[in-house]
Amino acid sequence: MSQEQSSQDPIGAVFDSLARARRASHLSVAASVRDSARGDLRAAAHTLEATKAGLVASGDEAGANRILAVELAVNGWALELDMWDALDEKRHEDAWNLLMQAQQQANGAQRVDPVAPEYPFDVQHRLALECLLFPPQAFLSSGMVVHKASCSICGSDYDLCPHVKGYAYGGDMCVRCIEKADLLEVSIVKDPADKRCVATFDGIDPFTLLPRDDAG
Amino acid sequence: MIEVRDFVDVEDRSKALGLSLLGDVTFLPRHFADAGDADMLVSETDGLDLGKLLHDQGIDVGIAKRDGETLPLIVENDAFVHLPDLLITGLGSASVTVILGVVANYVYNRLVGMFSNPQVKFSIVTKAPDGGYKRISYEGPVEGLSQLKDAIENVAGTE
Repeated sequence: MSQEQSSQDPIGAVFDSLARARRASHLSVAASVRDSARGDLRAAAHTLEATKAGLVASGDEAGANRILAVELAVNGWALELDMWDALDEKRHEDAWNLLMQAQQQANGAQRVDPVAPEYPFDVQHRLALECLLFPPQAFLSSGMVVHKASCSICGSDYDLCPHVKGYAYGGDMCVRCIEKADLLEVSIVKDPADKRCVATFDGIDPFTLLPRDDAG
Repeated sequence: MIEVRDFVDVEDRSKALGLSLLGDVTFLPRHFADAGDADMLVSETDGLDLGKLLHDQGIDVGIAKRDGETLPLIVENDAFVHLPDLLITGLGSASVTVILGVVANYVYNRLVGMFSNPQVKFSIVTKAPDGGYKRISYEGPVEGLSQLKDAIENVAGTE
């Protein structure tokens, strides 16, 4: 997908919305402008949903997967706009979690459509925001033995179905849904699978570095 | 970096642990070489996913079973790919090339966006002409994984 597509067509309008969201996604921008950009992204999400449904119906799996990548990009920018609101309101933990979700969306978009030029920028941009806006964090990571898991694509036993988690099928990302597992251990790690699992030490808020009760 | 080391005798070790390893290509369970008893053996979740992707490329990977049952599957929620050792006992070099390509793509796909220069650790166990087993390990950037092919052919004497 290219940002240069005409804004006459629905997908071109989606990329216009993404461009407006990128412009509005800064701390100094007025909340009302961010709200407006978020509204555009919501409209874009509806357009993408309808477009993807049409592609799936016509059997164009590759096209549906490219639309999935755009959907992930749209979600990512909406989450980033939410992050600035949370920072404005000094909800630091919420802001962190929103940024981490936005990072995951950008990573997903790049994975699903690795040749599109926009998504690596989103990935690098959000990694940079993480370093600029928050102090370095330590994370918790769990190890578990999985006894039962199902596939989000076909609903079958994940061990037996042909789908692979993190890959796109017919416009949807495959997720392994763990239904029964035993926890083995929890470790403190630098590179977790999910950066929302932030470790807290000695009652210090990991974002403000103040004691939890005073963190605001 | 590539490292070649002696490995335990796979047949003897499988018998001692009560494991059946079927096929020319099999993922070995974690702790295969050093487990005190078979209860320590677990399968790596990345092996399950790679097995599916290799099947799509026409390469069926055997699963280690104990008393007919698959081993417990371990999932670790960190940002790394935990690749099991791959036992190869009878494949042509073209298939080895396919395997290494699938592994490289899988690792890249998992780590893209998380690390600027995705790294991989992957080992292949194969039989040398003298009957002993060797573990050939690669550690480094994903792009360099194909170097394993020459090392495997050197060890197996199939150049």
